[in-house]
Amino acid sequence: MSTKRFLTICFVSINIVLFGSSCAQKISSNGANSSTSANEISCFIFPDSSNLRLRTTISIKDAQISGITIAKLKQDTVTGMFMNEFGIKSFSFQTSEGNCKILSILSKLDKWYIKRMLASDLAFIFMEANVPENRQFIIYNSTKFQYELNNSGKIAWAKRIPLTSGAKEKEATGVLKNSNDTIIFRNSKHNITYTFTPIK
Amino acid sequence: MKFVKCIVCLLCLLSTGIANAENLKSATETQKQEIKSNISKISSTTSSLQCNFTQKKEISVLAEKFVSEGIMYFKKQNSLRWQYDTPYKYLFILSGGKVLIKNESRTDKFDANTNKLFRGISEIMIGCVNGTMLTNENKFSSQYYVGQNTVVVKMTPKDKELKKMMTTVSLTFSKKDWLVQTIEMMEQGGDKTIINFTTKHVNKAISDDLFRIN
Repeated sequence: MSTKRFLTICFVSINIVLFGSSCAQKISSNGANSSTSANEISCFIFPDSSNLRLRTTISIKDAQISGITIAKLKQDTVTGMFMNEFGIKSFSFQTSEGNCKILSILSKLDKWYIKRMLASDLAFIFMEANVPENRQFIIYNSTKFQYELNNSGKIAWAKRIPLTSGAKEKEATGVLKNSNDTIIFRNSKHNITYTFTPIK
Repeated sequence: MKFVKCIVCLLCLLSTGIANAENLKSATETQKQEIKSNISKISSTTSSLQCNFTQKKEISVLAEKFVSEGIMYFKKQNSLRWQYDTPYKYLFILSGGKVLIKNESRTDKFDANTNKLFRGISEIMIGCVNGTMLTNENKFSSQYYVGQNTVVVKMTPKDKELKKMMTTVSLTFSKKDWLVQTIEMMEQGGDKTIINFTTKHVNKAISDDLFRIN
């Protein structure tokens, strides 16, 4: 292969990659931020001057982990931590625009599949996004969130439906309900229920 | 002018730091033996202990100080009731090798001897309360510091799993009664949990019902 041909292929490849990533960015932002009249949707009311404190339980089949979640909203990013009642930290996380990163996790829970599941569930639960008014769904990359707002503009219920490009919609993998400020999210795929109640 | 103010503030902070640091001095071998003997003596004569506690969790990344309060009951040999009353209800009972955990929605029971995690937690909790953790040299290496009114024992876990949870556990004993006054647990990343014990009742009758699991 001549040097000229090789360089042309490289140039074309780089352009495809750059064009592709800019498109991907656009799809993501179209779903969340493209409207002039936007609604901020969330399940929680974050206090201005302090952190959000939530009594938390995570139930898996017959077992249950309980503790406290402390979370803070800064711009569109939620940083949070879950600890048990004795103050021992189980994991910390950061969510932004439908994505979640597990920042640290207790060694006993440090498994890729646990982290992946937690990240996916927490991204959905702590979703904080500006969406166009009267829209009933948001699309973040490969996931569609269907939701309904209550009178105070908070999420009353939401469904998580995974999407794959070109394929039909799949069944919901999670359902969230907000009743009297208690948020219950059920991961129907793994049969895990998260319950969050604000600590007053 | 601002610069001068900053310097003055800095000097004040530094002098306070130095004063605090000067209060605690590394214990000599004789002092160390004396401390161990005092704690051991009080531990052997304490058949029960009841006190209020305040637990403060400091989370550096969230600039959070989360405070919870409750009551602790201890009865010889190894019965412990650790009860959180505010801002949440949570109960931990250890008795006869069994553990009961109760929160607002459910109650769970475990065998502390077959569950390694609960055995570890129980050993640390009871060890902190009655001071026997100081003699647990297989699991912790200890440094002793002496102040005017208190003695601080800074313990570093040797156990690999425990090390991942906490870098050090510091026990502060009052020289007045040689009982644990404060437990401070430092975590990797700078977060810490401080438990302060107040209103101590030593050898006061405590009903066995408080430790009932079944």
